[in-house]
Amino acid sequence: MKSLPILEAIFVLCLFGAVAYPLHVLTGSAPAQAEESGVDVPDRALVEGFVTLRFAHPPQSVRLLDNDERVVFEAEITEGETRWDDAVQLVVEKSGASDVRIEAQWDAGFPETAVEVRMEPDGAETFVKTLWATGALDAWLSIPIHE
Amino acid sequence: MRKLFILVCFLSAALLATPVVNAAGMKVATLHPLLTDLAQRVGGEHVEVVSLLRAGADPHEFDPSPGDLARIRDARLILASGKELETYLPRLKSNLQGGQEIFEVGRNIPSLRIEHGPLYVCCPVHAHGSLDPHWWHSVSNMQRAARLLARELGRIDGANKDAYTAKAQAYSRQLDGLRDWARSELAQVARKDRILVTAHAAFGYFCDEFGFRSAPVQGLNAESNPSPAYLAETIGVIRDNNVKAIFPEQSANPRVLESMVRETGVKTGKPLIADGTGTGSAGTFEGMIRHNVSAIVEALK
Repeated sequence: MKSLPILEAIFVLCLFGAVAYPLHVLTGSAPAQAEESGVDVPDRALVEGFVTLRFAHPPQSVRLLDNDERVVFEAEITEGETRWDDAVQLVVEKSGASDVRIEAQWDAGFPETAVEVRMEPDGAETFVKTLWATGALDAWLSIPIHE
Repeated sequence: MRKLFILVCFLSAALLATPVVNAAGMKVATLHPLLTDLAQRVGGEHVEVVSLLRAGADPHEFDPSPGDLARIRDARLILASGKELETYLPRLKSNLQGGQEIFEVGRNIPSLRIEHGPLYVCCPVHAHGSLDPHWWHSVSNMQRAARLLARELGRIDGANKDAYTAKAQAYSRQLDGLRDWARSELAQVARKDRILVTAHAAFGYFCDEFGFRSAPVQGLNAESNPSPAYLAETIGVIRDNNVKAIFPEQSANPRVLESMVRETGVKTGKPLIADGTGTGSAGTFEGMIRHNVSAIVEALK
């Protein structure tokens, strides 16, 4: 290779672009699972799933936490919103269940109200529970995953 | 220079043949018409959907031809129903191009097992004790499938992840309405009459969701026709429970049901769509549920 004629150099650069662009598209849009979850639980398994929360009255705040106080889900509150659906990752305890704590608050003056929690861990039966609260809710749920 | 030129040409050709997500949308191939409907609803304008199984075909018998494989060569994602419905999946996997993936939508949906003895069959593959593959007869399962598909599409095409999630949520809310409608319609059938006597064992998930008992009476082909003993048992169930009607299916041989009608004197309902391969307005998931629920209510109320 004594010298690079300019036409050949342009040709090689074009082909390099044709190689680099698909590689960027293939690898650039798929963040790693670990990065997304930010969780480090080496001795317990994680299972993906979905949560649906339905409130009879719109809350001021709502979030789900696991045994390690990790936030599993936190709602973005918009006025009047009473339902949230989101993908979540649950920690499966040695018992085969996932323990999740739900915290919610309502404006003062709301009557006793209901919250439906629906969890769909991958491959496991749907878990549905209705909880009742006045003003604030702080309750633990044990969601069976490996029975 | 010549070696470098050949190497770059080779790499370029290999990568250009790899399915990618481009501006025109990700190509998604489906192995079942209900998955085509689902992919279009969740993927919207961000996907181009290619369906291999035509409406009205039998998914238990389908096997993709070389022409079918050629049609999905540039699909980034291939959607299968899962639960061992597509017995050809191992062969299909061995023919995948680099970058192609198969997503079994039903894999993470809880399974029912086929019960009720050796005659409770839909095809030779799905005999007693195996997974019931007809998960699409439950509205809740289809809502779950929408969420699973949105997650999978978002994993591959991260730029449109929020759009897939939003579309799955909108579709799920639409299906809430469908389930409410179905419950309201089926409430017209007295509890004692909620027995679904059908041709093949496809309605377990439907019965589970809507509180019916299932009594399938035949397979799809001569080999899986029921024995005289099972027919006698089913006729006994029909008589003991004063079953009002039995239901043929669009893709099943009606002879056994006809003889049962003659034997018991019950009426025949409209054909149900068992395998999710309905045509016309019943070609979508919502259309199939509305068709089946309407046919059941009309015959049993």
